[in-house]
Amino acid sequence: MSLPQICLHSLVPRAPLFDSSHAQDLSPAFSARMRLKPTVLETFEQPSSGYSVKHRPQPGLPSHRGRCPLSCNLYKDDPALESGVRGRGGPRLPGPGCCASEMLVLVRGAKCLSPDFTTVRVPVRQVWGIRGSALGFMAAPVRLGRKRPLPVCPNPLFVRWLTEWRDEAASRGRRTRFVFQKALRSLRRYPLPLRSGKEAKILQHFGDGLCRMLDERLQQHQASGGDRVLDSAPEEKCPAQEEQPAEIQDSSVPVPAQPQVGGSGSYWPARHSGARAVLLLLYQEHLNPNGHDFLTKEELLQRCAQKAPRVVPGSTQSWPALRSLLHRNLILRTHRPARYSLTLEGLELAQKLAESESPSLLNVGTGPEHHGEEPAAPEAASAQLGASEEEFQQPPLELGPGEYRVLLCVDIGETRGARNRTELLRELQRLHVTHTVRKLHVGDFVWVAQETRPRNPAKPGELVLNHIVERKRLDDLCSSIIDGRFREQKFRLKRCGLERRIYLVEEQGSVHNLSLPESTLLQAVTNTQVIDGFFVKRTADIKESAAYLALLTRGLQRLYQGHTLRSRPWGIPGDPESGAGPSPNPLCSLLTFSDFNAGAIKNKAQSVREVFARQLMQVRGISGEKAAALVDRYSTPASLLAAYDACASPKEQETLLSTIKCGRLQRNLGPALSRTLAQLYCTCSPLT
Amino acid sequence: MAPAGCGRAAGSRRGRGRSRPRRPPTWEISDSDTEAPAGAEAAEQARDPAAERGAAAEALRLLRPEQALRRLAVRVDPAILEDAGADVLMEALEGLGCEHRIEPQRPARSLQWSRVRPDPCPCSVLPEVGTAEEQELLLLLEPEEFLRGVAQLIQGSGQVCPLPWFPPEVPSCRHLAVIGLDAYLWSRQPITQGTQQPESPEEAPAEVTVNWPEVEEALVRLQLWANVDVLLVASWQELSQHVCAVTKALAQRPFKQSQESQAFNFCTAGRWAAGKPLTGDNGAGLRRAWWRQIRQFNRVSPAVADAVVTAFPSPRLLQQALAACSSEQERRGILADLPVKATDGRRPRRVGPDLSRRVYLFLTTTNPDLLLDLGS
Repeated sequence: MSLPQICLHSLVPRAPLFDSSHAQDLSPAFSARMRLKPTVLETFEQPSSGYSVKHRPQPGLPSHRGRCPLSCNLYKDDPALESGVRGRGGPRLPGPGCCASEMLVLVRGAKCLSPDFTTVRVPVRQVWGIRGSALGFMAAPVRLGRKRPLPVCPNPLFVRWLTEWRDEAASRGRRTRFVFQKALRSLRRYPLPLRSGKEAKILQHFGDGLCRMLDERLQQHQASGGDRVLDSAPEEKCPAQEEQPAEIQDSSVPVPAQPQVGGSGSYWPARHSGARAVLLLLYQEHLNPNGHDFLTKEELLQRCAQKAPRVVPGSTQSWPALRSLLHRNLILRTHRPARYSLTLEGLELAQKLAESESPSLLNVGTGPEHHGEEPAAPEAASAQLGASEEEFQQPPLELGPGEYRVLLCVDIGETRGARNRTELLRELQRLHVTHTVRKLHVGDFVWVAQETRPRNPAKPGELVLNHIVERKRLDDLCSSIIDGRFREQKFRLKRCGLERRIYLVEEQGSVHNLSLPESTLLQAVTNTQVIDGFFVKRTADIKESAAYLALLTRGLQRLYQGHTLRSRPWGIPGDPESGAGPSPNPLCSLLTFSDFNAGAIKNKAQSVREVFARQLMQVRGISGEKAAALVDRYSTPASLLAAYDACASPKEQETLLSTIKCGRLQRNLGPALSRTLAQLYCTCSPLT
Repeated sequence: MAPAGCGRAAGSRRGRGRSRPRRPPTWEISDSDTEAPAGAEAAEQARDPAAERGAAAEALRLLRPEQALRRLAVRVDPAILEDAGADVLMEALEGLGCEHRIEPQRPARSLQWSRVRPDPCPCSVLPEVGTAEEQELLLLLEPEEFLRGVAQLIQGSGQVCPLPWFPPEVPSCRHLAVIGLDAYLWSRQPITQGTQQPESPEEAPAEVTVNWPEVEEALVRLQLWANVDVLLVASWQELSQHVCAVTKALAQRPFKQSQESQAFNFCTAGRWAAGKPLTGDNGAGLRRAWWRQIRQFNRVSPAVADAVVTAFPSPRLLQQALAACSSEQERRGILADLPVKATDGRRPRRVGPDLSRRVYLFLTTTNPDLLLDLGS
């Protein structure tokens, strides 16, 4: 059978290197080295596992386009995966001894998780069965003198049945023959045994129907005394498979030698990579006696720009290097705004990196190649650096009178979808309202003061004015009250950084078909006004809403006329005495639009404290204030579990939390809740 | 009298964590801007911890909306009663169950709210209970009066202060209400149209000529410059509904705000999210709680939570499994490859590395400020 594009193809030891004639000449050490040669191992960033392996064909081997994707990925939760697999020592494949465990194998050409690969879980034994010959590059349980036959078809029965069906369809002139043909082609490219028809669904051109047919046929086959498909195949097709498992079982193959080719355990960021720059910068900060052992993203960006301009990301929004370091748990991120610092592992690696760099980098990080022109004293240098940073990272935007225009900013959600949404934009155009459509993370409308003659034409400076509008049709209001979004939205609006919040209630015809009584809605709207401090505006329909927005836009343009606007950092209230009544002047210390919108992202990064508090509140009886009291005392799950561990007896565990004082009344948490929590956190058997 | 109460309140605010012989006063005093004076006897009472706690509990009880409504008084200016329709309003207030007093207000034809101070006053513990005056003021205007002010606003360029209608020293939360403005403008429309051409200069000052667009513009100016909202209603009926709604909201406000002040910086659904009660002492139902706990991480679907809880049916089992891992990487990926049951014919999935990493960090870190998600 021909395997034109199969990944295995390139791996099969057909190269002369593996030829028996050569093998005899090789000393064991040499041959071990040679065995590794046909493919270049490299760590493969498959985030699920540190054990994945990827390899690239060498010149001279049959090639396929790009990188060979047949990668192995160990299934780690299996306790049978013992030595030789564990440990930080880079990619190791399980030896043939771990028959009980499974591997994840990435295969191309199948329907996928990612565009190019899919993951298939197969018992190691099976992989080994193939790998014994095919993936012999590494663990190679080979006596070099012997050439292993390639298991030409891992799924002989499926191939046979598909062929039968295709031929039958062809003989009857049915178009389904093309379906079978395509599936067959796809199946032949697939190097691994399939246990069922359902499993074949990962392959291209295998639909539900076909998989069911295969399963039915498989059942018939088994019922009629056929062997299990996978472990034994018809002799005439795959003679190798009969003997292979047995051979593997008792093979005295040593645990594979560990190839130290930059294993994933020893992740080594490339020179001039962003990851390396970040690690080194954080390491310098760590060494700096005056430093605080962390850097903010701005500081990182800014220092990177100084030292290694090429690795600075184009947009400040995402920085893949940071992400990947976080993912590897080499750096950690705390607080808001985020601070980055090294983990223990990160520190270890950074130390090694720094050693491998020019030795000059080892002194407090002010190597001459970077700071040649700066004062010699490192402290002075870093102090100066710190001072200049403040200015650099927060270039305070100041827009004088006439240097900006006020635009209405419409959330994209308000313009898509229902028919009357586009009507809003039409209406705004008709009223000549200067507006722009964007994705807003909170609210439906805000106003931005946009630089008219921007210093950077690609990115004009933008400050967001202090007003924000949430528009709700009465029926939306109803449903949002019912499903709880109402509360959540108000909560987020109150924390969005803008003080003047406007609730625009659009009545849209009659109130009689609504799922809540009118009085409830009136009370909800009034509460929003009186308790939450929103300005409530009622309009009859979308046209009126648009007219209102037009008036507001014009009003704001007038309100801000002649004022100088300045940016303020996120988190600091713009107006200390806001709510203390109307002031004749508008608020001129404003958030930049990007700060505002980034600050309002819905599913923000959660802190450990937040998740822990939320988790505690899942226990019935634990209210917000009780959870707060618990988290005040034990701020992380680890500290609570440690406290339980320190208890002398189960009885003590049960009462551990009972005297924690909760709420403004400082009431005890009480014995009942304390016991429940102890049960939840101390039970070592499955919970019921 | 006043200094004693205020001093204590302030002291307890500062004294968080300060050790006291009996019990540290660790309750949170909310940032209410008006701190009421406390009675001397209340301060004395507070010496005794039990009595103090009792007083605080009583105060919290008073904050509850149903109690608060009884303690709220609506002050109605007698001038309002001159209008025949005012009966509807008074009846509605009667039905609401809160006190209403008819006493002259400034400005005339306005409604204001105040709280009846409880006796004895537990203000030392909860100052918001003692807050007497509400800052809200609702001024009722005749359409014509309103329109005169609107004309004044429109002509005045830019700044709105001083506002027409209000004397300078009124409270900050000002609301206007106008009954029947719509009808009034409609009724005048034919007249203005009819007398279009011969409009003599002598007549002009007497008649206010304001149209709807101008009213709308004035409303926006009132909103932007003075934060004043105008309630336009068709009838007394409608007005009384609004007044009742405002009164109820005001009654609830201290309670809701005190609840909010002690909440987290995230929105929690309901008072507590747990649905099912635990049955008995054996902790049945805890598995469901554990399942919900997993759901508290961002982006965890029910199916994923199922997968985690099936593999590790208690937090301890997960912790032990983490401890049994021999490497960092292994721990980080502990959940990654757990299979997630496919729903309605979709491809089976796994829990994935991201959640696995977050759960691992969550359970092992000792830094409560650690951010779990990779993205912002």
